[in-house]
Amino acid sequence: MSNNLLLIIADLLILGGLYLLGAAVVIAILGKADRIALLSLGLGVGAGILSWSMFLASWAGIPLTAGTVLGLYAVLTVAGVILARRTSKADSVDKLIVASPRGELDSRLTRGSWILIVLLILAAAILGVGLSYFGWDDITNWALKAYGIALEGSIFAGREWGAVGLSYPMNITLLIALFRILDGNLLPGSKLLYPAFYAALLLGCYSFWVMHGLKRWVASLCSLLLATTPIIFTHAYMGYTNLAFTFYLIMGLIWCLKSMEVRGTREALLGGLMLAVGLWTRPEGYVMCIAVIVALVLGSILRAQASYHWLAALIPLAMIGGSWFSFLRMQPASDTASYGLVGVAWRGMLAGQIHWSALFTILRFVAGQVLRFRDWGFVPALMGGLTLLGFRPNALRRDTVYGILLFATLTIGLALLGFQYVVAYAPAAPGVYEWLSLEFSRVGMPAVVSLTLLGSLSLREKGSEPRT
Amino acid sequence: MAKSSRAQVFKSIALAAMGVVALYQLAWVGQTGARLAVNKVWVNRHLDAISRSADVAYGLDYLGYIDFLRRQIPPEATVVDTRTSGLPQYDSPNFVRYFLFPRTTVPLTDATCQGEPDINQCIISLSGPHTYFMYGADFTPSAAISGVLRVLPFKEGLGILAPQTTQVTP
Repeated sequence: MSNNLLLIIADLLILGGLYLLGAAVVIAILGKADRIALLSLGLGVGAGILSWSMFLASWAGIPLTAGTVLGLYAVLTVAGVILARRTSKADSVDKLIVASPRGELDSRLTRGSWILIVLLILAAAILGVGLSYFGWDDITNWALKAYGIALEGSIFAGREWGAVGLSYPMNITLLIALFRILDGNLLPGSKLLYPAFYAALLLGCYSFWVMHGLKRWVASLCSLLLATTPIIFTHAYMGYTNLAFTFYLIMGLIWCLKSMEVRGTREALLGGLMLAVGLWTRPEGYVMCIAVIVALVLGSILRAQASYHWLAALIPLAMIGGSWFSFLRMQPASDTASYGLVGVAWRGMLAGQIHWSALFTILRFVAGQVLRFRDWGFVPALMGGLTLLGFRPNALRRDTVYGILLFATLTIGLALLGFQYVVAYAPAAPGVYEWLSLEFSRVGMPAVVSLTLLGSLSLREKGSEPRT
Repeated sequence: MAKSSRAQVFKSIALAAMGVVALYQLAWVGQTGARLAVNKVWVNRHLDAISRSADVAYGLDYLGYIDFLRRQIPPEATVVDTRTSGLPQYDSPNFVRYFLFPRTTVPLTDATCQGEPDINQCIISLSGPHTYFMYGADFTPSAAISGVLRVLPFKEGLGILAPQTTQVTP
């Protein structure tokens, strides 16, 4: 058997292992889960939990070697499986793709769309591995740091290896390090993570749409639209972390939403876990998580629903976010400028310093981005149009999902703009325009996916709109 | 009734637009992906992951330079990046370090030169049996350097300064 084939098998085993851990945790939390929920959440949850545990272990002084990482994995997976067996219920599962569709055309369009999506996922996997790491940030911020951590067996190696010191959350870094530790990452197999997050995001969105009244073929078409959005497809084979972050944030939003609909503690816990791993994936994660929480608070106020299980959603956020920010505070040499900048900008605004020219630059840039096909295709224009045409003010109170998604799209969008605006307060940073050119298209991904979730709700079947 | 048929028309138009947009986007990403698959994945299928990275990031010339560095510099060496090319892909130690992993790569800064104003003198003061120096077009090796280090030019002003004692791979 050739070396590359052995490496592919080893890499698929690592991905399968992450999925197994995540699936066990999802079942342990939810008690039951349909296949689509497991497929969309399994890898992301397993990856986030293992990388966070690796971080804690290394912080505690345990060296990250193949033995310790596999031991950690075994403990977590056994615990997850035992919990899953205790909590799982034998309810029937939803079969969103394979169940008998209502009509021949419905069936053909659903299958056709998913065949194209699967081809795109396979293409992204081939491109991802074939091109290896090639972007500036994926090399200097993520891959090199991961290789340094794997070489020295400690997260503290990240201070010397790669850019930005220890200031960036380490979810993806430690996942790349995991591949490096276990099989050398010679293909590199860690590039399979990106198409896996791409597939998981599409499945999660599809499941959301079907659950909220879209016909299967319409939900499949919406998924295809998202899958073919140029920047999303590019990030499915590029080594940046924005797509993984978008997956965590959007799944967090979807499951928190679901917990409000069903008044479920378990769903809130899962939603909070996804948001927490999002915070553990990107530096802007905490701002975006706050944006989602604000949207959920607004939604619960509007519905006068006091029963939302905040505590369940906040526990994982407090655990993962708390440990990460404690770690950051204990690293005086870290480059934590991006975190401090928000405070600097806030104090400046309170003192009446408003950078109007920066605001104007941001708005002009965003307007141009909406129409920029190379990044966003026609998705923002199409989904923005659908949202505007389908807007009904009275639906905000009647329809939880619609209302909160609208708030979330707005708060995520505002957080995104705010994150760009604070650069105007940085004494040594590049100009706002230069910053936007570098960053905006990719950090804007969660806002556009949230807008797509929202806009597509205009296509719900009659009678499925209001949820009370 | 009229309201419901208006909603149906709206939905049909929206779905038709989405279908057209999805197919157009699919053609666009398909074309971009196919080009990359042929020109970079298939053509480079015999290269290792680091070499493929170099070609995709900055092209064949960059790949050639990285191959040259990896052949000439042993894995246990320290590489000092003199940052004299004026181009980020050569002058950023964090970027170059990925391609030279596991070699330690450090930048030549005022701090490493410890106040030595002349870059040639600084390099001589830092030289050692396991220390290599990457240089670019903005650097001209002095006669004094040639006595201490071997000058191994690549092309277009790029090259390395190697210790006198090491073997060079042909």
